[in-house]
Amino acid sequence: MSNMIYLQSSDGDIFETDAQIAKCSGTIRFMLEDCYMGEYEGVLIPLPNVNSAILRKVLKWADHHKDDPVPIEDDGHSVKQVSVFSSWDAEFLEVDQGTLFGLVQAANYLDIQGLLDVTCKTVANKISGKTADDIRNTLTTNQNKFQDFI
Amino acid sequence: MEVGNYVPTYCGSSYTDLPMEIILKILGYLDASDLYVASLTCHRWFEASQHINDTQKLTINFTKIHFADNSPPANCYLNCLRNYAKIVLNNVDFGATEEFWNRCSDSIQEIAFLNCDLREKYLNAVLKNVNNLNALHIENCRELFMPGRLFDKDRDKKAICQACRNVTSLTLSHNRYLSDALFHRFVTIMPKLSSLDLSGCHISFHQGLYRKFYPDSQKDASESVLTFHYIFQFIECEAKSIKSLNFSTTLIDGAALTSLSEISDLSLEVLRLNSCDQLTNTGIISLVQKQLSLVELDLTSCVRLTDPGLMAICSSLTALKILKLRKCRAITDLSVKEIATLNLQILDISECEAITGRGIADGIAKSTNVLLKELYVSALNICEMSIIQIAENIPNLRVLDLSFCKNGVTNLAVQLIFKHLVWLRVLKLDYCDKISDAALTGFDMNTHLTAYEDNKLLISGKISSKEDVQNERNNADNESLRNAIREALNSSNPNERHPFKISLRSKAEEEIVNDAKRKKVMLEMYEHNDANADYSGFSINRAKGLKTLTLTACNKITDVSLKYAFRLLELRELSLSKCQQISSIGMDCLVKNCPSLEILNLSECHNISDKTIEMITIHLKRLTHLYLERCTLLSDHSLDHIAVNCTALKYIDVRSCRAMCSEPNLRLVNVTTLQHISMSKPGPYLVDTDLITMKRPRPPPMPLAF
Repeated sequence: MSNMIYLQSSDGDIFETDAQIAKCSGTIRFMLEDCYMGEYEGVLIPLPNVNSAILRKVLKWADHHKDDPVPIEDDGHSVKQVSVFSSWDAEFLEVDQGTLFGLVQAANYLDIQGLLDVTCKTVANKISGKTADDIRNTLTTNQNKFQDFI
Repeated sequence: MEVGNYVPTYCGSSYTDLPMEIILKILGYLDASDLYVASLTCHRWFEASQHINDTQKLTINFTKIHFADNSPPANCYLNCLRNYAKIVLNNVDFGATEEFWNRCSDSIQEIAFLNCDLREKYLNAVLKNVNNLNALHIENCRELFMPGRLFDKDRDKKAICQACRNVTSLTLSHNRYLSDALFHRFVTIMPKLSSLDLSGCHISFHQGLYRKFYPDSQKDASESVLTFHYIFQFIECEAKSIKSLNFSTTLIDGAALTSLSEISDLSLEVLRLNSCDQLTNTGIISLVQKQLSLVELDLTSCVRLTDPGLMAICSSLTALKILKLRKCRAITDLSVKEIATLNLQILDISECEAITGRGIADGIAKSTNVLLKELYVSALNICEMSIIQIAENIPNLRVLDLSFCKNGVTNLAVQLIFKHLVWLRVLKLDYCDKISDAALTGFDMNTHLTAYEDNKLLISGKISSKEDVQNERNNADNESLRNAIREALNSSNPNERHPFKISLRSKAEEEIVNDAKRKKVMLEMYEHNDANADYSGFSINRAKGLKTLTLTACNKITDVSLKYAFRLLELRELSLSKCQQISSIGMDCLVKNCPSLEILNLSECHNISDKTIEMITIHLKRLTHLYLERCTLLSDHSLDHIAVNCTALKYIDVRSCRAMCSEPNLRLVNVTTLQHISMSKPGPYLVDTDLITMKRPRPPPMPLAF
């Protein structure tokens, strides 16, 4: 049974997607199961905090990871390992600073733990081995300024 | 962050505005040095780093300074916003520090005084100031114990008892003048003690001595000796709460350990008996029969431990997670095989001379072992096959120490390590001089790897004992070396090889020339991106999280590896000491691709030039330790580059850098962070300089001018 739903981005574009895929997002899962009481065939969910470009990326990520097993808790040893994730993710996250930042925010807003993990790791990776000035320069784009310098 | 009161304005436009939990998540992936730098970017990130510091217990370490409120570095601490949970004072002399202790009265949980001229009055003052102390460590502070009057004044007692009420861990190691009476005073003010460390103290284990100092009439603790009997009585009383004991470097013997392990309510979790020469198998066997809850057992340098003792450990201590047997020279393969029955996380069997590859291949590395995280097997005569088996069967290793395993560590073994052990954080290959660039780059290893896969079943059947392995290896190695040399010679310049030309060079010299040629060939091959070349092996870059890598005296490692293989973002410590083929070609790439380096050892790399030092100092912003001993090309320009570019350098070693001026310390006065310079002594009256001038060839006598 196909359970298609529709997601509307902040700039008005509408994306059709399988509910199963969309449910990797805690926020959407919560809406579908609690607000629509499980009867969500064809509903439209507005996502005012995610723009089209980012939402497209997020759905691509979710589609690729739809069959992933439920993540098990880390044993504490690998938590601090910055650079370990799948090569698909690594390639997927080779994006400009603006997009990466957007993905971090979207992953947080949509409550997608796996995406949040890999994006945060990617950001940490970019910090690794740099000086404070370098960090500011790397993580800053024209729109995003690191404010409040000490 | 409350999801309910969600406000859309949260879509701030920078990393500064992210919700705190996300910032914490990002910073949580960083190690201490990265975290420190990240905390300098903006206020919110600083706050976040503060939070992480609070949960992770940062340590502040003062070594060899004058420790007073009004002088650096202590006054810097007074002005900073960070809080530290642990403070280590090593070899400091104390001034007035009231303000300091007031400032950190709530944050400090652990205090360590090491080798200090610590007085009773000062310790009392410190203890009265701290509120949340849970560990106290006093090591080698003789002035504190010599008078024997510590804690005997009633006036201070109440405040000190209050301060020490939550102390769970007490370390009084290496204190010559600790007596029963002083020990008694310490333990009475610390009712919650669970961990006791008396390593290196002069404990008398002999019963006769106890009887001599405690004749029938005397009940009070003796002020002149520290007896095991007295400590034993304390442990007996507190048996229910004591979980960790350390009697390292004492004369503890089998009988003492037996009586200790037979205390009825005692169930130890940690026992450290490092360098206890008197300890016998009997003691160990009775220990393992009673103390079944042991999690960590350290028997480093207990030379009397033999196979029956280790077998008893392996069969009884099922909860054991950490086992250290370094330098237990008497143990053999027979018992080492049994270690596989334990569910260990850390195992150290370095320098146990009798162990061969068999003990490892049939033991710890026989079948898949996902629990073992750290394995130390340095200075063992183990074969290639056993190392391969380690790589294949222990996939979660974080630390692997293979230094001085000269025979076993081959290119193939290292390739398989990088194939399987991608989680490695520490890899030590010191003095494994068989490995070449192929091991680190994976270049041209495909044929070897496929050959290995094909023969796997065949080989694994016959892991030979010590001698066989050695012979086999030697033969194979000579063969491959000869082939390699032939190859290198053929491809480099055929004109140079004349059939009738006999080389008059020494073998060693020839080797050096050949090494250089091989390096040139490889570099060229890489540069032209030779289509026929094969890059399908496993590069060191697969172990992306590598933090420490030591390649001391692996002198076949050349610029090729540094240039094409090292992309290690997290690498903190690298030793290339005695890798004499390293030059600026490789180092230039290395410093750009491994920006986190803090400790760099280039001792005896004779090709390192001033230019290289310039590149190093410009690119490695975090460099704290730099070893340049015997880099003969380096001149005063290097010192100038260091003085201009290094902002974090703490230690530098420029001994025997002949081309430098005799007083490098004067050139480096601007480097404010520098704590120690190792250098050859200045001045004309010094042995070192004299020797050097004598070694220099004398100029030929001048012809007399007419």
